[in-house]
Amino acid sequence: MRRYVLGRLLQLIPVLFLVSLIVFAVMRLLPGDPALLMLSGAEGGAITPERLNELREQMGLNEPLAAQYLNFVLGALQGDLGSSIRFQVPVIDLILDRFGSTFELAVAGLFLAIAIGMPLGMIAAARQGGWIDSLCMTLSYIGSSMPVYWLGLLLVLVFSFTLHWFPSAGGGSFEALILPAFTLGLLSAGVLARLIRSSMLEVATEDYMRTARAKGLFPRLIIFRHGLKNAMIPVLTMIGLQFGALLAGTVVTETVFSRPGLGRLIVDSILSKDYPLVQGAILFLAVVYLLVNLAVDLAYALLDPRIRYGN
Amino acid sequence: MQLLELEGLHVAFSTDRGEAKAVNGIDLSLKESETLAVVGESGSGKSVTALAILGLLPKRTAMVRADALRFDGRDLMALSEEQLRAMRGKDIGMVFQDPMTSLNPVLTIGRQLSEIGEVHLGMTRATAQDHAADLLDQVGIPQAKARLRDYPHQFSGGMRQRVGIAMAIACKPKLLIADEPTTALDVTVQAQVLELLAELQAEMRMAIMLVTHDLGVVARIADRVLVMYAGSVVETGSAEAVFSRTGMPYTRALLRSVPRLDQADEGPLRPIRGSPPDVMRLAKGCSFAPRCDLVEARCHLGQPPLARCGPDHQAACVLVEPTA
Amino acid sequence: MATETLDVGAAERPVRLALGRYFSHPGAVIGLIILVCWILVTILAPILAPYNPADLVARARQPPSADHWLGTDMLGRDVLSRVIYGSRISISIGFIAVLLGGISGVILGLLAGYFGGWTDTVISRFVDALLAFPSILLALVVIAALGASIQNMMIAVGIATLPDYARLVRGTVLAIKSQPYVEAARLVGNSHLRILARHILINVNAPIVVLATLQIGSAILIGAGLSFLGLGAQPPTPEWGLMSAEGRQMLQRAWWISTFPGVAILSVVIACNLVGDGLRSALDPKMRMG
Repeated sequence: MRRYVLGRLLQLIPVLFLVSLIVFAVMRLLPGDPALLMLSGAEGGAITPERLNELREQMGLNEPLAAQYLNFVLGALQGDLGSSIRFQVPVIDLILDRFGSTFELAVAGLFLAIAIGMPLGMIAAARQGGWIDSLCMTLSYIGSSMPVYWLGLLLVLVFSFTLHWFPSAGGGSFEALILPAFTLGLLSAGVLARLIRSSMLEVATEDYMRTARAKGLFPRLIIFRHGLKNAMIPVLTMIGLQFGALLAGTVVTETVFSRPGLGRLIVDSILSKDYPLVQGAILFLAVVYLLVNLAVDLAYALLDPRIRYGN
Repeated sequence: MQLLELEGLHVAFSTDRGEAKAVNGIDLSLKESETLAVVGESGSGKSVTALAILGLLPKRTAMVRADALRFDGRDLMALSEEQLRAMRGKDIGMVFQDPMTSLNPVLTIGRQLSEIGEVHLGMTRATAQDHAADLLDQVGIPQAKARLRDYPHQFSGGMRQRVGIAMAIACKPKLLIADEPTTALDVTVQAQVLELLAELQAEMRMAIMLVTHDLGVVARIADRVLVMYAGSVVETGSAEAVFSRTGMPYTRALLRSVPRLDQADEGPLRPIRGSPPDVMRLAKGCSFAPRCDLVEARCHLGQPPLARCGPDHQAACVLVEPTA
Repeated sequence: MATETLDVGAAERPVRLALGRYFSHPGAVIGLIILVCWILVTILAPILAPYNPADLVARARQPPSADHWLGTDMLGRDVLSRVIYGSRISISIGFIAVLLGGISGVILGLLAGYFGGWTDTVISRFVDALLAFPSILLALVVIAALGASIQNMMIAVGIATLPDYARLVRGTVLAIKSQPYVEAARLVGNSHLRILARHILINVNAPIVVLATLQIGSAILIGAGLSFLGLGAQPPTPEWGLMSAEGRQMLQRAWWISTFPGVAILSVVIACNLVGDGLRSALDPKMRMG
């Protein structure tokens, strides 16, 4: 087990390296001088070649690209992601300030997705071919074909403007979290339900399930003890991927519900060309996503003894 | 008294291509502490028959019908699903072919064994654990107590099959159905597993229905033999009669196609030419006729019925001289 | 030569079998009908649309009526006409993005799988790194770098879908590469290009087609999402995601401006997914309907 965890941690290093390289390269190799952007964007006033050069020097833009990248990575490792052009404060402070709200939203969305998707998929599998199955699958199909923002707008229209149950915008309170969380969660619930259904049906054809029936176990015991644990193995991977999708989905959801979160921050900073902020925030989200997937892989080992004791 | 009596069993599967008739009206019976070997090539319907007795065929695709199915004086056809469940694993145990896939990979051996005691024998978790250790010991797994915490992938193939047998005999069943229990194992391990089955049978005085395609196995432990071909019984009788006075050319071909350890030189091995018929399209005549060396014109007229060809011996072939 | 006649028969039968399997799924047939209808709408937009999508034809924020079936937007443009013309943009975003991502992904996957070694290592690590980003985040990175416009958005969505193709193709190529007939083709002196095209590409096309169909739906969704955020199509383009964004501020007073473009997206994406699933079970019966 310890070797497995260590192995997975080691595998993370090259991926992190590449992710940082991609973010750096995309933001740095493309046309547009960040220093020029910063001068024209932030302070106004005359842009003189002297001031431009001074700023370039200050931002390290006169160094070779390799050195710039090294500085970027070394800085990032110490939590220094540069300064925002628009806000003139360290990027990491802005990110940490907003990340709580985004993380809360993604976790709430994931919780709803599991709470709705798991039972739905299991019922559909248990009643394969019945009307509950068809209904569940149709709903999950529609769910996964819907634009996130559109579902959000519909929920606002119904539950906020018509029924006045929940606020339509803002952050901070529990009530304000409900509609955005449902917006995110319902879409993932559809994906999860379909996967759990097919995974349960797949497992049901396994020899060990026949053995369990031949042993005369109670049907419920067969499904929950013998089936579910095996069926959860592929589902777990999907939950990790869904968490990534949910984190990314907050970009749209936060806009729909005017929530002050990291996603909204990224969109705003793209629109205002605040490139250090974009770079830092995207790198941050990618790292969170990788860490979540690592956690999922470790949870795998708890479910599957072949990995736990394996080679 | 007969322990198991099966009359007129039909099983058909609905498939994309239509209805596949896997078993076409077979009779079968088994006395207490007797060993019956059900023999045939793959696709002959022998495993399906075994699963049908326990009601383990998939309900969505399999249509099962029988004129009679009695076990230990009870009519299995009249039992509810819950009553059948209570009997499975308790009165009838089953051992499956592939010990690699028929044990649950994510549960410990201890869990998979002890749950039987908890469900059928009303044991507490602790007693069931002790019981599970005894069972492992009984099937010859060393350090039984310690190995309860292990998972299936930590056992070798032969050891896993021993675990499978331990699960099947956990409630001292009156009947053990073993579906190709040695096919997936190495030859040396095969012998050990067969020996174990024979020992357990002597000890617990249970009947065994052994489903196999391996006549070498049959010759070692069977009292009676039932040969199946394309979903029908083509020869049945005492093992002695079937082996020494073989009535059906198919059985003879089968005997010639496998090495036998219990008999001296019987000439070279000869595989059976052709392949088993497509159960989707069975011809009107004897289904073995297309592959038979002794085929005659009348073979194509209709499926010959089982005819008595000796005391406790029947075969379904036009060449059999019926005896009274 | 006798074998050639046999081959023709053998080649025709799988096609007919596949068609039969496809049309035996009612969902797949419905999806195909919806998709064909939408493609007709894109072609016939000038005939079908009652008004010019850019003209201010009535008072602003008129609810749906006989004159304006889907109402008018905040400037007084006809929503139905804009939804109809919008299909040209939204649907072509899906197709072009998938084409871009598909072609580059397939090439990367072929190279990695076929040549192996260093080529494989470099490409696979690159693809792994792309997969480390959720797809909308990857699209955001690209847009951030290139700037917000429809063309850049297509590139961004294309890049976001690229890793899926690369992985699929690489895996399939690895499986096919060791087949005896490919080895034989190499032994008799066929060039790499010829082997890739004649023997390998032909065997991976079914899964690629299935993946591409399913990806069109998700590309349309990502594209609409980006336009909704203001990072894709810019006003006054009649793009479905942008139209929803424009109506968002007056959702309470004029719900129709935001909701109808969403219905259009939903129907197109469902149709793509139904067709994709239908193709999957038709082309490869071993794959299940997910």
